[in-house]
Amino acid sequence: MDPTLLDDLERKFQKELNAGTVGLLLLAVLAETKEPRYAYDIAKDLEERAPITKLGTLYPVLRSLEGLGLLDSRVEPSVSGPPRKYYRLTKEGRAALSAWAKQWKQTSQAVNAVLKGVSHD
Amino acid sequence: MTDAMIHANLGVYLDALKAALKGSDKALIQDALWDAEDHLRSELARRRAQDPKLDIGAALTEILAAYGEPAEVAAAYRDRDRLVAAALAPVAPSAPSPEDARESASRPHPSFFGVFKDLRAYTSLFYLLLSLATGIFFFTWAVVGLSLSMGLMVLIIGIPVLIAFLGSVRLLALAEGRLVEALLGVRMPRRQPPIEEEKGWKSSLKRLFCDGRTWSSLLYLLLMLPLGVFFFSLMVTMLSTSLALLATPVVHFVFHEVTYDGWTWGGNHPALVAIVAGLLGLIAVPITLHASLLLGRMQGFLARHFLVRV
Repeated sequence: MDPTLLDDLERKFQKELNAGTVGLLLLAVLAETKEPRYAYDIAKDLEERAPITKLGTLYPVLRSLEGLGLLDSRVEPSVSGPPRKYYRLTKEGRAALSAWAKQWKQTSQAVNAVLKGVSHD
Repeated sequence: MTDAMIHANLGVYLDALKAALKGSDKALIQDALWDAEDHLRSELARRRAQDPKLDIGAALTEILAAYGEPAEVAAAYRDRDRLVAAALAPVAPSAPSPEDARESASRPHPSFFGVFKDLRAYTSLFYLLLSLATGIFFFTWAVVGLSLSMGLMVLIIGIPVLIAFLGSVRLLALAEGRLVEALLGVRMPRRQPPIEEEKGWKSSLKRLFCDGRTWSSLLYLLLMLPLGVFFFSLMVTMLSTSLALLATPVVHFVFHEVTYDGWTWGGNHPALVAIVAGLLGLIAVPITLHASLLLGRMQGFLARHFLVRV
């Protein structure tokens, strides 16, 4: 098979996986603190703990979660530079997080059970 | 690197992102640029605070790489926007699926001469010419099968014959459906409808009898004979007439072999007749192709209604 095609498929697969998991991760990160968090801080936090995606693709997910009503945001002036956007989990967001986390656990357990024995490097 | 140079460097990236988002909603573009600039500046500021002697050029390259290619980031914004719009819309407008797009009804009809380039016109023509043969076969099969099973009904073997015949009708309907889809481009079933597991001739007979599709398929098979005769004669007539007209100037000017028995005026003006006939042929051939497209579409409609039941 053409190696570039394989690379393409790999990228595409990662993108498809991220389509659901990134939103879950963002909700989970925001659930850790009561206070609203600066968008950039959230991105950096996730970059360190779960480096599965380009940082630039996290922001549209934050905005879409806000669009769905799972997050709340407000813009605050900062001492240095332009105003900053802060995100906070809504009640709906908390409910979605617990439902999604449950789904994720079931899915990952099922997938891992099937993948047991598949070698990878 | 000076602040102005940093600004210029970021500007190049933001411009590329803006270009990649071209055509999207203005608010979305603004959000994306805002997010990107905020992130890139914050990240650079953090790194500079950590290491005052930072190589800013290298750091910028690294930061931009971690942020993602403009095309990738733009795609993420667009995908997410669609997702939210779809989730929030009370009834999402259903986009036509590729399957539906294949239906002949939704294809635009080609222009008068554009029909020459439409493959579907030729495959339709082939189907229409073939329909005489398939029509004769279907009709014969249906009449023989029906009369055989009816005639044998007085004996006990009439029942298995009837079951086999009705089963064959459905199989023929499936085969005709494949032909219709291949040649007329109308989406038809790809496999037999599911068969219940229960065995025994009583249940299979009941199933075949109670399914309206069996009977409409049988009707279609019978109908295919008159339709096939009609399609075949019409198409052969149109095709031979238009091709003959088109060939007249060739025969006249190249082979000089046109004679008009009993048409004095034509015999006196053979060149004029040949040119007019050629021009008429030039119009008649596309008309034939358009006719085959239209008849094919009609036949596809008929096939869908008689052979497909949900």
